[in-house]
Amino acid sequence: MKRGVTLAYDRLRPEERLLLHAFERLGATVREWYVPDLTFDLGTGVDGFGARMADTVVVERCTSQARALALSRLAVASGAVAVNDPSVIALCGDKLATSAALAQRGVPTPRTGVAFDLDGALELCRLFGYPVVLKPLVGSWGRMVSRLSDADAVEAVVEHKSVLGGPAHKVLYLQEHVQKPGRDIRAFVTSTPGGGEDVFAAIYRTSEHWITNTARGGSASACPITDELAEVVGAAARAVGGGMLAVDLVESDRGLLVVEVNHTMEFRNSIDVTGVDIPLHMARFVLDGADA
Amino acid sequence: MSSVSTGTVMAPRSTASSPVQSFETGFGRVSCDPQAVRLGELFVTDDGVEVEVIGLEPLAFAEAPEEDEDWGE
Repeated sequence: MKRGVTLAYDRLRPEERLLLHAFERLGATVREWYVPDLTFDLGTGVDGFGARMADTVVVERCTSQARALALSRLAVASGAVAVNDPSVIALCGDKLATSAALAQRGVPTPRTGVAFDLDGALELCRLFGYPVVLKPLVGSWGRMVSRLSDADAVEAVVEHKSVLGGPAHKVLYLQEHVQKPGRDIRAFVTSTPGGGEDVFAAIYRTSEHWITNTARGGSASACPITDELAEVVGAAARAVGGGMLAVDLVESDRGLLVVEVNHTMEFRNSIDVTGVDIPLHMARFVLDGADA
Repeated sequence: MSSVSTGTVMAPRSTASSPVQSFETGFGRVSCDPQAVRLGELFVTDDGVEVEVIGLEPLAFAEAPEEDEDWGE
């Protein structure tokens, strides 16, 4: 079945421009949806798009996770194929859901736990050893991620979250702090029609800061795709349901550990250093799905 | 279409043959092809302010919103 492609976005970053250009290079016509302006009637779809939704692949590229999940759910409910599927977005957009899926499939991760009050948090910290890393369940770019060096710091942050945070901040998501070599790894992966995964590019993100996101100033350089990397990244992608993803990992004395899986990945800093035409690869993945 | 309730709309400063034109946004100047810009597109002005396209006809910019809690990849 040949489907049309729709790119849905809320902020047009360089990534969305690069994707649109990649589709153009492949001769594909792409409809664009500026999601903040859309209304979506579950009976008739977007803007009267109606029955034609079944002939569409919606490439979800929203910066807002809430909007991304809503849009992909509505698209699928109307008969479209969404990239990524809402079940994948729901898992990847919630760090605890991601960790649970990875743990269920035996994918190596930093030691991770959840507590619901200060005493529980302190108990986990005692088990993991200081420093520990406290993360919000939802969020990206290293936002509100805290490295806590002792019980006093844990008490302070938990009190702040308790007083100032919303309901989601009552779930305290804690991870062991992995001594990484001043860098982490981001690997780009797409599922293949045969049920496998194609790990097609990877970068090191290096920073003097312990948070190495390129959005926080980390610098990108090419990372070789070793057998171990391909295996762990493939397993992580399978664990969350597959699709078009970026997997973040840290190197440890226990091997590669998966930190998170991103469903609407940024890639502007990864093209030149890897020499891989990442948007073209992504566009091909979408068009292959549209033709399936 | 987004209503144009904020931002500053100005006539193009340059109408040379190049499709790229310079616009005053109220937060500094940006250069873009007005036929190619899209709603929600982000630019950084010559004053270093991130602005977002909030209207196309007429072209309008507003200061881009601060990062929200659920923004990410």
